[in-house]
Amino acid sequence: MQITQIGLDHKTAPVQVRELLALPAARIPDALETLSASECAGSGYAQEGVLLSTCNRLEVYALVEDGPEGDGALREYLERISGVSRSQFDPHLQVRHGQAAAVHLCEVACGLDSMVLGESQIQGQVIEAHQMALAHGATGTVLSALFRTAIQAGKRARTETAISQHAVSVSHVAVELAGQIYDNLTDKVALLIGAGEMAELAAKNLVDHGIGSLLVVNRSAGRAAGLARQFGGEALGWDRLNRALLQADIVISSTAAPHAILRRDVVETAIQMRRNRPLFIIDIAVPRDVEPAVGGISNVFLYDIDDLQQVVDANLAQRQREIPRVKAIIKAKVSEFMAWYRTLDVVPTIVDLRRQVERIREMELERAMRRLGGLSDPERDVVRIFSQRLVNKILHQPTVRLKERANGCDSYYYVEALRELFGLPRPKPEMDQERPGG
Amino acid sequence: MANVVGFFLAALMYGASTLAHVACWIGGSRRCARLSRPSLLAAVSLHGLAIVLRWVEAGYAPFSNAFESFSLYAWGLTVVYLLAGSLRRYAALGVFVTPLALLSILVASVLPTRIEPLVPVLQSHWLPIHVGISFTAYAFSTLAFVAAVAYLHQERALRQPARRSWARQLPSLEALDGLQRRMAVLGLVFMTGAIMSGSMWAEKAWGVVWVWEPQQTASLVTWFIHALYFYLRHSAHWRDRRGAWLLVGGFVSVLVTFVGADLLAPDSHHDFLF
Repeated sequence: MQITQIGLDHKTAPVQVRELLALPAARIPDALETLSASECAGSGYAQEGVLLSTCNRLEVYALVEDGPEGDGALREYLERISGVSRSQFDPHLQVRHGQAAAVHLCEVACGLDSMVLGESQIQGQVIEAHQMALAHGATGTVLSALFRTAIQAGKRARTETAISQHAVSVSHVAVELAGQIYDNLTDKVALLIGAGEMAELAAKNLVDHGIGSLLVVNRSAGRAAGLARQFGGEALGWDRLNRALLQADIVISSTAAPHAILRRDVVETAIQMRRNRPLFIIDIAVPRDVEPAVGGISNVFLYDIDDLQQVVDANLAQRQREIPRVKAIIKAKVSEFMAWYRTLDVVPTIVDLRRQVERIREMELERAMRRLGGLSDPERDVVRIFSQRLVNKILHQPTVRLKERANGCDSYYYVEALRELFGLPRPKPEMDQERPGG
Repeated sequence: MANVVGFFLAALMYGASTLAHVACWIGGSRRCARLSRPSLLAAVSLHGLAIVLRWVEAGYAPFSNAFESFSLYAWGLTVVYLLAGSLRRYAALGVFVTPLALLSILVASVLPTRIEPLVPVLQSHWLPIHVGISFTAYAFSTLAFVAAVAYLHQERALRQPARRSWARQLPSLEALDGLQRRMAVLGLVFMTGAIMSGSMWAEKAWGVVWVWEPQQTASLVTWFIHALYFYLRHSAHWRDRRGAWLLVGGFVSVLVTFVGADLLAPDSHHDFLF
C-alpha cells in the first residue's frame, strides 16, 4: 500500500481539460463513496481516499496498492466519476507517490501551488476536503494524518512567514491603502466619478468593506441613478461634482473622458474648503481622469492604476521571497509525517518486535544463569536453546501472519495494534485539534 | 540601596522590552504583544517600586537630582504610554517609546545614585507637586512627538506605496492625527500647570513669580509651541505634515527645558539638577 496522489491543476492542464473533470460540490459525496468504501472489503478503488476539488484543481489522494495497479485503478476511477474517456485527460495527469505526494499536498495547503501565490482560501478548501472524506468514511488513519500535517503546515506558513501578507490584487491594494489613511470606513463617504463597469466593481468592493455612504456622479444621470440604486447610494448631477468633492473622503474615478476631469486648482480649492481633511483619490481610468499634479497637494493621496499595479507587483515579490521559509516548514512537517508513516510498514515492525523480545530473552537468560550457578556447559546450552526456542515459537505466528497481511488493506491496523500492545517505538506526528477555517 | 537595585533590575526589563519591540517591528509580526508588552509592564512596575522605596529611604520625593530626573522621565513616559496607548491599535508605537525610555534610563544609570540631603530650597511640599506636573507634561509632549514621527513616516510611505515600508504596521493617518491632538492638548494643559506651580513655588521661595532663568524661559517656549500648534490647527488647518513637524519642534523644546537649559546655563535656579 502506498500514498498516491493523482490529478491535474492549472499548471498541468488547460481549462478545457480541467472543466471536463470538474466535480460539482453536490457530487463529491457520491464520488467519495465510489472511491473508498469504509469497510475493508475490497469494494471501491482505494483503501483510503480524499478528494480535493477547487476551481483550479482536481486531486485524488488515495491509499492504493504499490505499483502500476494502484495508479491504474485511480485512472479508471477518474474515468468513471467524470464520464470522460481516459485519453482526453491522461496526458495532463500528474501522479505522485509517498513523500512526493505529501510534499505536494503541503505546498497546495500553503498556497505555493495556487494561481495567486500564498492565497488563503485553499487552506479552508483542504480542511473541507478532509472533513468531507471523514464524514463519508472515505479516509482513514494514514490520509487523515497526512491532511492534518498539511493543514498544520498551512497554518504555520501563514503565521510564521509573510507568504499570505499584503494584498496582491488591485482592489485589495486600494483597500489596504485606505486602511493606512483612515481608521475605518463606516463613517466615510465615497464618491464614484463615472458609472461604468469599473465603477460598479469599485462600489461593490467599498460596500463590502462597510463604507458609510456612496455618491455617484456621471455624465449620464440615468446610469448614475441605476448604480446608486443598486448599492444604496445617492446619484448627483455632473454639475454637483465640485460640491461632492467637499463631502467625499474617498474618490474613485473611472470615466471614459479623453481629458482630465479633476484639475489641480479644483482639488486645491476643495481641500481648502474641506479644512485640509485628507482626500484619498484612486484614478482607474485610462486615459487618466485626474491631473498628476493633484498628487502633490498636501493631504491628497492620489493613485493611478499603475501605482496600484506596482504595489501588487511589490507585494507579490515579497511573497516570493518567503517561499524558501515556507518550504523549510513543509520539509520539517513532512519528515515528521514520514517518520510516523514508515513505522506502519510490516518489515520494520517485525524487526522492532524481534529486537525487543531478544533483549528480554538475553536479560532473563543471564539472570537465570547467575542464580543456577555451577552448571556444566551442556547444561548451559540446554537452558540457552530452551530460551531461544521459546521466543521463536511465540513469535512465529505473529510474524507469519503479519507478513501475510503486508499488502492487505488492513495491515496498518495490525501494525498499529502490535506497536501499541508491545510498546514499540511509535513516532506520532503532532496532531492537535483542527478547526475549520483556522 | 534596595531602590538602586530595583532601578537596575527595571533597567534590564526596559532593555528586554525595547529589544522585543524592535525585533517584532523588524519581524513584521503582530504577535508582538505576547512578549513586548508584559516586559514593559514588568519594567514599569519594578521601576515604580524602586521609586517608592527611594522615597521612603530618602524621606522626601526622589525628584531632586539628575539621576532621579532621568529615572522619573522614563517612568512617566512609559506609564503615560501604557495608559494613553492602552488601545491595541497604538501598540506599534511602542517601538518609538521604548527606546526613548531606555535612553533616559541609560543616562540615569551612569549618574551618581547616592541619596544626598536635600538642599534647603527644595525642602518644600511644592517639590512633588511641581515636578510631578512637569514630568507629566513632558511625557504627553513626548508622546505627541512620537505620534507626529509615526504620522510623518506613514505619510511618506503613502506617497511611495510600492516601496516596502515598516509603516504598514503603524496606525492609520487618521488615528495618528487624533493621537497627536489628544497628547498635545494634555501636554499643553500640564505644561500650563507646571509653569503655574513653578511660579507659585518661586514666589514662596524667592519672593518673585518670574525670573527669566533658562529653564523657566524654555518651559514658556515649549508652552507657546504647543499653543501655536492648536492655533494653527484650528485657524490655518495644519492637520498635515506641518502640524506634525511643529510637534517635533515642541519635543526639541521639551528636551531643552528638561536638560538643555541646565547644561547651557549651569548657574540657573534649577541648577540643583546637575
